[in-house]
Amino acid sequence: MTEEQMLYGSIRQHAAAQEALYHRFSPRMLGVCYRYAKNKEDAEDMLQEGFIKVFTQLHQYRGEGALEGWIRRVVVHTCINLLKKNKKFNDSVDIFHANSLMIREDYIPSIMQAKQVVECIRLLPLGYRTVLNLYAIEGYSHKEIAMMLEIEESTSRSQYTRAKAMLETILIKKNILYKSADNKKLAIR
Amino acid sequence: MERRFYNDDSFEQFLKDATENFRMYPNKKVWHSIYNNIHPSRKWPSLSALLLLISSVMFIGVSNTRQIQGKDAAYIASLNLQIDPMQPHFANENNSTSLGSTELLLNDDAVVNTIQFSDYLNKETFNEVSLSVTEEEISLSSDEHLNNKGENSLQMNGTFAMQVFTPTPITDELIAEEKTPEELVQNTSLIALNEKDEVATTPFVDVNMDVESTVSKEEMKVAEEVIKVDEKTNQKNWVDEYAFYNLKQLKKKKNPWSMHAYVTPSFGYRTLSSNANFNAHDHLPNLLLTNVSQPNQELAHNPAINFELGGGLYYNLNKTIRLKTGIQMNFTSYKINAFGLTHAAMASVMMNGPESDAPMVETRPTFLSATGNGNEIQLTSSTMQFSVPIGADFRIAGNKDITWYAGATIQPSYVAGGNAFIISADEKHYIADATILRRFNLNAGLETFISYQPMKGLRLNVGPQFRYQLMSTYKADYPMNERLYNIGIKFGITTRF
Repeated sequence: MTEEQMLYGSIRQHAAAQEALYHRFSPRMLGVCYRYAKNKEDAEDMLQEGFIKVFTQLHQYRGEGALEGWIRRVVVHTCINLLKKNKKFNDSVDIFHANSLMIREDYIPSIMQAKQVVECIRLLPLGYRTVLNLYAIEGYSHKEIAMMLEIEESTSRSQYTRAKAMLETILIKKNILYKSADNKKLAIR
Repeated sequence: MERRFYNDDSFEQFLKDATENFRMYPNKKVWHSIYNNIHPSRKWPSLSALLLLISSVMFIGVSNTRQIQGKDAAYIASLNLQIDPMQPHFANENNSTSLGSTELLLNDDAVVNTIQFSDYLNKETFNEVSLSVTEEEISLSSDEHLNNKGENSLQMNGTFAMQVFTPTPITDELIAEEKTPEELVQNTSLIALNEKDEVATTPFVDVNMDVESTVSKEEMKVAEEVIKVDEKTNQKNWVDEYAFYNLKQLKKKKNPWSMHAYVTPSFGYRTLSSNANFNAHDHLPNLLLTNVSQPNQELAHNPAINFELGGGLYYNLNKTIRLKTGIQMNFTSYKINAFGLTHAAMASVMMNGPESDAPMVETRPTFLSATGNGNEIQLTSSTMQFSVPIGADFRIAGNKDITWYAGATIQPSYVAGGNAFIISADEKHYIADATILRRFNLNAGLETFISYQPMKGLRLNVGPQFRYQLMSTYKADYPMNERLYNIGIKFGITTRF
């Protein structure tokens, strides 16, 4: 089934097309959710909510840009909304106090190669991780992030700077990155 | 080792590259939950299919039970066999000398096992009563009588014997009695399988093979393990195929409770009717009574601004009906045209007496005239009520965003205070007397409104409301019944928990 068939079939509420669309994009979208979520179960909850929104709002997709990009934006916004709404997330979405947290090296688990970077990102405090995900990976501006998370733009910038530094430290400790001789460049092994 | 350098500016690019192709595979139940959510009405077909499946299984079970209880009951009873249907049954190896073969009982799961031994089947040594059958016949008999699942495509070239169990006790007894192969053959009713034979009468079929020297205990253990694994696989498949479609908890249930708050500005009116248990003209003609038979027309009033403020809970019974309750405050009022007197006047007031036809007359001073003598003033008759409305809303039409409701409530009320002006017997004076107010009353409310959802979890409601006081404002000894009513516009807000 082509992407176009899946799209128009899903808009017409054809179950087969919807299932095909889901199976096409759900693995990558779950990977996105996993970067925001506390664990895989929460990521699956986010994925579920996200795809329900996708299927109910798919008629709003105007064909501008890739379908995957549109789905990804819906899923990311769903993740952020759930992080903000869900109380169990609110407890840890403490962007302002996250800078006092330090990652101990012995907390860093042994990670399989395929998931190394994502798992390292997930080691960050949730507030750091959220800003880093949105800015570095999803490509939102600090202004957009500030609006999404209802924080100051300057807060988003500072949190990102700290998140980046912490992530670099983790990646270096995990031997995924290392600093060059001039101590300025980072290289991936 | 290939190294890619990133400077600070391209750290984001590194992260993008690193995470771009990261994928995880969600549990099956995620899709089922999504499906149930976007196709709530299509859960019924799967439920129907499940019911059909259960019915079919029950029907087959009952049919088989009847069959066994009927013509085959005596036969089965005579068999007196202790056979574990989940285990392949091999004859004692010692017995293989007498039988000239090892017996392998085929059942649902043992078929896989027989495939494992297909190598042996090519080495078969047939006993005297072996009959040739083709591969096609084996598949047929397996499908129809062994209830296999299509896995039993036995790759056998050549022939082998099919042996039918009989009432003869199994091998141990045979060994104990040291029967000869000929005797065993006589005790074992063999049914030849060929293209014309009916195999429906063969309750158990045994593959008679000469594998005595090759089937070891280790291989038997392997066979049992294969059967156990197959059983687990079947159970898992069942869960995958059916259970997830019918797990109720997979669908997130909405909280049926919600909160609502509202304010209702309105106009307040009254109606008056006689509550006298006496005939004033008969008993007190000297009071110059006017005609008080139609007080509602004779005693004019003007409407005044009222308001209502309340809040409470909704409980959604279903998509159409929701119950509601809460607490509500009502300020009711209306205006009376009167005239202020500079000097006090004495007014006679008739009240219902303890006897049905004898009024009590009270004389009270007042500065309020009902006729045109003095300065024109407006009296405000009012009450402050606290109520507990209990009722329901009915969804008439609409969609998720805009919905039209109609609602009704009954409102037990406590009158905390107010102003009351009673009319004299000759209808010439008003007398202020708040003690005449009834403390507990009962109101009814009718409303219809449009509910609009500007954002998820929040609804704005607006619509007309009619509130009517079911009991008189005054106590029973006042000879008039006054019932208040309000007509207003209710503005409300509803939020989910």
